[in-house]
Amino acid sequence: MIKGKAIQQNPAKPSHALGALIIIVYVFFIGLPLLALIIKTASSGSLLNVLFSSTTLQAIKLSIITSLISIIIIVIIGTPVAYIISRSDSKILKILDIFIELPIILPPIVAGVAMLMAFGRQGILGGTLEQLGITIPFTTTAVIFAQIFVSAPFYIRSARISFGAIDKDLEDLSRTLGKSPWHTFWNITIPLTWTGLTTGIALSWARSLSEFGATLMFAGNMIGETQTMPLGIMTAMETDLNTALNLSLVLLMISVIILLGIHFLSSKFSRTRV
Amino acid sequence: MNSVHAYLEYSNDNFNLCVDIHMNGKDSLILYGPSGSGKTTILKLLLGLLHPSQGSIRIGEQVLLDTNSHISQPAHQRKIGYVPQDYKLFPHLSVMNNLTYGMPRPLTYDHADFLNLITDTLNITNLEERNVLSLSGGEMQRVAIARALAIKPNLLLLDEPSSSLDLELRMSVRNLIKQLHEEFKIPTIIVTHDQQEALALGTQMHVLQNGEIIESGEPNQVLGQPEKIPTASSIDIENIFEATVTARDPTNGITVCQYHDLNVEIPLYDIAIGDNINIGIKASDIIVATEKPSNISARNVFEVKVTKIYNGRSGIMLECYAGASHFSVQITKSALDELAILEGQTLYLLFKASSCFMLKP
Repeated sequence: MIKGKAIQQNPAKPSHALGALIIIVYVFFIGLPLLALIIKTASSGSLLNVLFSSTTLQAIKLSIITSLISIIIIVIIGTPVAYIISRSDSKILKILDIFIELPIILPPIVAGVAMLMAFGRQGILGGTLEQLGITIPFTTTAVIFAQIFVSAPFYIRSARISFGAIDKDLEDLSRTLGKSPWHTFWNITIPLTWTGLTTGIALSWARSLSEFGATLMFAGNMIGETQTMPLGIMTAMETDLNTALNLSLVLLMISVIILLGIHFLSSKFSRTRV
Repeated sequence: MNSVHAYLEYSNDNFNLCVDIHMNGKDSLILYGPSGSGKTTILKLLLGLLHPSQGSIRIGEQVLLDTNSHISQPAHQRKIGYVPQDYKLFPHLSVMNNLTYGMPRPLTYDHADFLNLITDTLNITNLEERNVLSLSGGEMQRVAIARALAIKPNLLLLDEPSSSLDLELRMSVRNLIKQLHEEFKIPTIIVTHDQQEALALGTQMHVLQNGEIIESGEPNQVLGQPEKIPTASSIDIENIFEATVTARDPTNGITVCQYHDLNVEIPLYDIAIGDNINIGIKASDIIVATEKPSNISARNVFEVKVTKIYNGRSGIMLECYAGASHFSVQITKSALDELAILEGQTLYLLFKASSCFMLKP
């Protein structure tokens, strides 16, 4: 006969109760505004009308296309940068690493002003670019520039940490087995850092989608050309709350879909890697 | 079988390495030495994972490195099999994919047959579909060796092959490595600081200290009666003492040396009377008696007092003194119990002249 086991269990410690309370407060703090957004949008009853209006569709399309281009460029350029920094003992590269992360703490509006000063008509490179017939500010290209500037550090940081965390001896061993550094990178380094890289992509992509300040300063707010969804929401807030609500919900849904999609890909790859 | 010739100079921070290695194809070379002596650095230089400031590496007719001619084959072109200390199996690949990682794709019948031969020899056929993270230490070891052999290497490097295994597995891994060496006929370099492993696996041995080879020879010779004091220290020869040569007897092949008040007989060496020399003798080569023995062949019999008894690495250690002369003696626990030896007791130590050896600085 088994007896006494259940009675001997320790009662919940006060620290556990406090921890649970803190978690509940935090979840409430994050969840309430999101829930309020969903409830208010649903009660407005105009989701489909807003969704299929040409202004909204243009903002959604522009946000998705520009953020997709941005994330592709970030991954192509950011991956080797992160890899080189993680494998180097160079002091210069360590300083560069801090410099690369600077946009994370830089207010986006300052980033926008800085980009104007670099690429704008009055900027350092503005004159040269104009002579070459290239105009960047207040174009869709400027939207992409602003997104890359602000969100690339999120990917590079995550990738660098992942590359730094894997066992370098595994890469060396791959080479002793006759595989080139390129083969080793694709078959050992990337699979072993996959989770970190996809987390970086998700963070960076989400940051691109939500980019507002730098885009407004450097690219402006022109429908169909530079008005991304966050800018569309701001514009709508001035005239029509319902439109702003519906756009906000759509942006939220797109962000969640991207996040879940990347999480799914990441876990699927991890499961099927053997 | 390919002979191996390597000369390597390497500097890093305060560490300098300079070694010259020559092996014939049948050799199984032991690199023996304490941590930080440069053993693993040599392997990495041979593999092309580190780059020497000066050096050359030749396996058979193939030149892998010659700094004078600016030749340096990259690591992935050297065809040197490597089994690191902690195996380094790829955690995201199955055992089968680890085994075939270095083989050309798609696998030809020849390659598949060769892989079957390796997996049969190493008895890992049943592990092929397993996840490497589910393998035991011994299984990981065999998979790592198989993976290195699968590339048909011209040279095989094993770094501390049994250091992380328990005693029983060590024995079986040693037998396996011997079997592989005989079967696949690949010159092999084995890094170890385990004397039993060196004796079991090596045909040649280099003792390393601070990036230099301080002594070379056959393992039983180097470990049994080393020639130099640093080697004797690094292989834990317990008794190293200074003595003065008092007589030489070429007829009987004996040298007599004075160690404080004792006259110790050692083999005949080319030394002069009056020379101060260092003598070594292993603690396990000294026999203990509780009564003075008579009519025995051992040339050295000394009355001593036991000052300390303690557990050593390989048995019971007795610290004994005859006046100022000190000896460390190793006996078994059963011998200690049977002879009922206690601290403070008087004992007789016996050892043959041939158990003693002269050490050069």
